[in-house]
Amino acid sequence: MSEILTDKPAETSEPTSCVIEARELGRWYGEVVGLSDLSVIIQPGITGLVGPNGSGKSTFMKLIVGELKPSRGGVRVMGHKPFANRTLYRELGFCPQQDALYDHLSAYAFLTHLLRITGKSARDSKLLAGKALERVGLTEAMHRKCGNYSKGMRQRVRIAQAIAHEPKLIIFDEPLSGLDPIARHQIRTIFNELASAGCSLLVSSHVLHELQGLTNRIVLIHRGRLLAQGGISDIRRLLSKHPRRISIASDAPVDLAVELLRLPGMRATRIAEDNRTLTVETQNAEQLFDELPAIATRLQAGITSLDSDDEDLEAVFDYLVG
Amino acid sequence: MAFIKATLLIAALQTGVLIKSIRFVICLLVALVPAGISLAAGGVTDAEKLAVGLSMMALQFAAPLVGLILGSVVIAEEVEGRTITFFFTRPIHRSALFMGRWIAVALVSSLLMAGSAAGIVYGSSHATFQDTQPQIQWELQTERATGWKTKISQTSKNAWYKDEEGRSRRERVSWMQPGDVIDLPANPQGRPQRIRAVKSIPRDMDLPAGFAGLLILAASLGAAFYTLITAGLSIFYKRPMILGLAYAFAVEGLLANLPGSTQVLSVQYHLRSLLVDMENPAWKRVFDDAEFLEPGQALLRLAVFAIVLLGGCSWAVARKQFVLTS
Repeated sequence: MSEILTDKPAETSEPTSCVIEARELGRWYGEVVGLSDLSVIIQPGITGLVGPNGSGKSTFMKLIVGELKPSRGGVRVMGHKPFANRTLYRELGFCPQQDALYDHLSAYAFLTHLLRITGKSARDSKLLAGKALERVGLTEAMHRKCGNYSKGMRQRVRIAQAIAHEPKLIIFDEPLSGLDPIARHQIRTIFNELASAGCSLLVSSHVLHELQGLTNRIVLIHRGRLLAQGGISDIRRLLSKHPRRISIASDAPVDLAVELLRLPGMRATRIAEDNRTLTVETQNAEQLFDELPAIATRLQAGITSLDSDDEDLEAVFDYLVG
Repeated sequence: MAFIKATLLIAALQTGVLIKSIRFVICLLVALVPAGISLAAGGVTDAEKLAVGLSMMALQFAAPLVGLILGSVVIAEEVEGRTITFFFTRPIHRSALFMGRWIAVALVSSLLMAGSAAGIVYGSSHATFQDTQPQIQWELQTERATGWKTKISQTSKNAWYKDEEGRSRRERVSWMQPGDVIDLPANPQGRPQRIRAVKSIPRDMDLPAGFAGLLILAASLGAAFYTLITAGLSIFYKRPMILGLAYAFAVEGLLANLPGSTQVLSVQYHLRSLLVDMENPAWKRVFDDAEFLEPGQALLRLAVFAIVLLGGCSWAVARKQFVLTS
């Protein structure tokens, strides 16, 4: 855990082999600081970028993909300055956080169009679009208009557009946020396949546990600064010392609450007025996340969403900062 | 080549999207207003007067409004919809997005206004004319010691006069031919009076040669030019329509209609220069003694403005950071 609580890039890494290198990177919006003096080196493979909402994850990612320019310092992505860099964009994919698509277009038309404008032939564009949509499991629905898709399907379209041109580095901004457990599992599988194919991934999340099993490399940022960089187990150990509040939307919240209260570390449960949302407070969030799928399956509890309370996470980060 | 290909692909996609949008329906209705009026016009006495009036409506109202409504989608819609990221993280020049989307809106707005102008021309030429017969100019005359003295000279269908008892009476005169005379009862002063047909005035039911082509050119160019102005505003403002409306109807309205050299600062002045023929009495009645550029000169100036604006907008899009809210 030597890199925990350091705000400098690891000196042991080879600068030439890194995919992203940020030096004293800062970005502010008027008087609001989005990112402050962030120095970090990210190696090939899958890296998790974790921080509570408003910590600067999205700003960092927008700087990496060249949507924004730094206010100070600099960032190099595969050796390139990213802003409006067409050479870099041939090797880079970006899946933005915002749920924005062209609702009047089908996923297939959308992807084909994006590929064609980058110079691919009509035949190659169709092939690559079909391949990417197959990879995210949207083959059957790919000719339906995006406006008719569910939230999970829309997320998969955004992932498909990021991977369709077969980039070497893909940036995913909160790709698992708000998805049901099945969709999360599918998307995590896609990430693992991409990594196996030699692709580097930077995946952001405000919930550390989402990245469990995906990568052992975590960059933790908070209030626009690098808080920690290291193995996931080390960071998990720090976070688990603090109680967490988790919201679960389920068809059988009462049965679920009874079962979950038997787990160690559980402090309280509460069912919301909608009779669907169960909020649990636990000191052992990791065990809850481990046990929950089996319990839900046994009770046929039909979990439709799972969210960790941001304010609690904020408290955990404050605790880490001291 | 890659830039042109990307631009044209974006333009093709945007055109398809645009013609299925509610904006297009609104613009179609706006463009239909002057054309619809001309087609529905009845009791018209002069085709030129009708065409001139409706042409002014098309240039001053419909073309700017269509241009503003469609032009505002160019960049602002992508920023508002947060979809601009998909284009700006692709290996294409950023200005291809601006150019492609502008070409689409300029094309659609030009076609709408060309259709509107064609409707005006057709409607003005095929309006239900009040009377296709020539008008008769007549005079109401009273007899004096020196001879017949004209009291009134008009071209209406009926003549009104007063009889010896001071009562108003009407006499139909539309059937008269030049030289015909109708003797009337004496007037309240006891003097003899009469109506005399003076001359026949043929009705103008034809538009001047070349008018149709010039109107279509001016209206479609005008709409395209206003899309460019709003598209430029859409790079910097989320609500370019508001500024565009203020420009087109307040600033331009003032500049183009105030007498003097400030007129040359407006788009309207250049569009009018393409169309207005001051030798024609119908235009002269509207613009009095105003002076306009030669059509070729006006076209050249509009082309230079457009190239400068396109260059500036492309430069701005390539360099501007678009901060999207999540």
